[in-house]
Amino acid sequence: MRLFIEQLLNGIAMGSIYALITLGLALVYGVMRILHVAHAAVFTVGAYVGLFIFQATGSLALAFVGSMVACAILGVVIERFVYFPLMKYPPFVPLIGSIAVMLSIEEVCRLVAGPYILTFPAKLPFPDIYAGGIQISSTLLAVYSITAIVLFFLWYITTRTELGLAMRAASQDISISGAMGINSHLIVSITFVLGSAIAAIAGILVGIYYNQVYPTMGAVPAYKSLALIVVGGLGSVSGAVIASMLLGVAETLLIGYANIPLPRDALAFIAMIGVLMWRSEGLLGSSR
Amino acid sequence: MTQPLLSVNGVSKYFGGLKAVDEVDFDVFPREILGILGPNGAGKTVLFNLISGIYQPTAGEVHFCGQRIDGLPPHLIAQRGMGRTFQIVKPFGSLTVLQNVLVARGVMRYGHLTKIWGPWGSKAEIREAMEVLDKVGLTELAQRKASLLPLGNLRRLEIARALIVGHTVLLLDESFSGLRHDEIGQLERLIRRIRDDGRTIILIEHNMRVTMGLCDRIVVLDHGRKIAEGAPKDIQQDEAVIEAYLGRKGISHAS
Repeated sequence: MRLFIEQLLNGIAMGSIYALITLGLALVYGVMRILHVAHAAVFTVGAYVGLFIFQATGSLALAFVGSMVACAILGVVIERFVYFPLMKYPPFVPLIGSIAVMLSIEEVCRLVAGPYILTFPAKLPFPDIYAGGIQISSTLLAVYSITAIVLFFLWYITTRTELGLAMRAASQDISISGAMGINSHLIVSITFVLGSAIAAIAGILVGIYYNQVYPTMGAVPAYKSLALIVVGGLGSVSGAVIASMLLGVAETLLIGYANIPLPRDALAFIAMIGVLMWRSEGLLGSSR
Repeated sequence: MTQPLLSVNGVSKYFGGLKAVDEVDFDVFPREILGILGPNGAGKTVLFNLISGIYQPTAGEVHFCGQRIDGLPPHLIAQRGMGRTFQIVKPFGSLTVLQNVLVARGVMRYGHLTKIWGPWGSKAEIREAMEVLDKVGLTELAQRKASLLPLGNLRRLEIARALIVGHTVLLLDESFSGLRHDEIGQLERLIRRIRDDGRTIILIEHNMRVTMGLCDRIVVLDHGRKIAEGAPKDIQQDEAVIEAYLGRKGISHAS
């Protein structure tokens, strides 16, 4: 029982991290209807920038803030200079552009930081908790708390502010929201700022969680988060969060208990295939 | 003669080799109801998209209140007081009727980033939105999810949204299509009332009886070109119009 609970707690942490990465992808898909594959590279840059600032200053708070700012800028640059000029072409064109951006950023990371695995020896300022023989490490606690804060912040923005109302309107139909006087391009840019800043947080958390930062750390999250937005329902942010949590828990529990011969990374894709076969609009997607 | 409120000068839009709109000119005067008529594919909706900024013209100019607006993004044109509806009704389905109107009302100040974080729907905004809903007759349905409304009410909601954006001019794209007979009468009265309140209306319409009865002037398009312009009476007798739009049988059968 103790082992089970510990596995479950690890699974929720995994799910939280998946959710933080996938959020940006779901937000961007919502307003632009493109698959922002390069988002995973923004996540990698977030980890590196966070690590460098941490090494230089020793302050984790500065690392988070600096990395979020850097990623927000990177996200807007990708939107302005890659997606915006390509939006008038069929969707596969921005998709190919996105893959190119992702590979380029990975290579830049390799050139700047080297092809090695760097360590991220930071201790998050959270206590270790022992209760009833179960240990919740400070890292787990940090992942839970930060994810909860991010989700609350995003929920507040989308449901309680004018910005959120405009974002929901733009994600339903960008040309109509333009005719309603909404500056659609500004909304798209703000969406990239939000999604990319959250990716920076995810990058640092993953770096600390695994104590590893390396140029291709975005590769697995890249295709896993693509599978997750399909499972959650394309364009549905809450669906993406739920799918991420379910996957994190399912991966951890299945690897811990069932002796399945499949690698754990296959699970996301089995789920995606299943969803496409039985409920093609995804968990919370609308059948538009 | 008074200054035109909106003037379209030699506007063309080519999609590859297709001339969707081909050197169209016309003026719209304050408090006028102008009809745009033409067979399917004549370029009516493309023309609306050119005026409201969704497309940029290949050639030509559009002036609104004395200023050039072609080339401006749609939201800036909307903020100058031009509201429009779309041929296919697309409300923001996940929002309520009231919220749909508030989207159009609340975001007018989006040029100012400071307001972006504030909660939406101040008392004054809600009051204004409710007044518009009252005008179109949707007061009771204000809290209903927009996706649950039947077509007739959706058209009213679209007009409410266009009204709150368009203090000056409204572009209505086939607002009558698919409506029942009694709904058509109500909508005609609504549009007249909106005009009497001081707004200018440009509408695309297929229903001949409605167009002839409602419009002060009519512009007829065929294959992207303007083939006639004038009062409904003159349009009814125009040879080119009869041929292009109604076939050779003549208007008496259609009206």
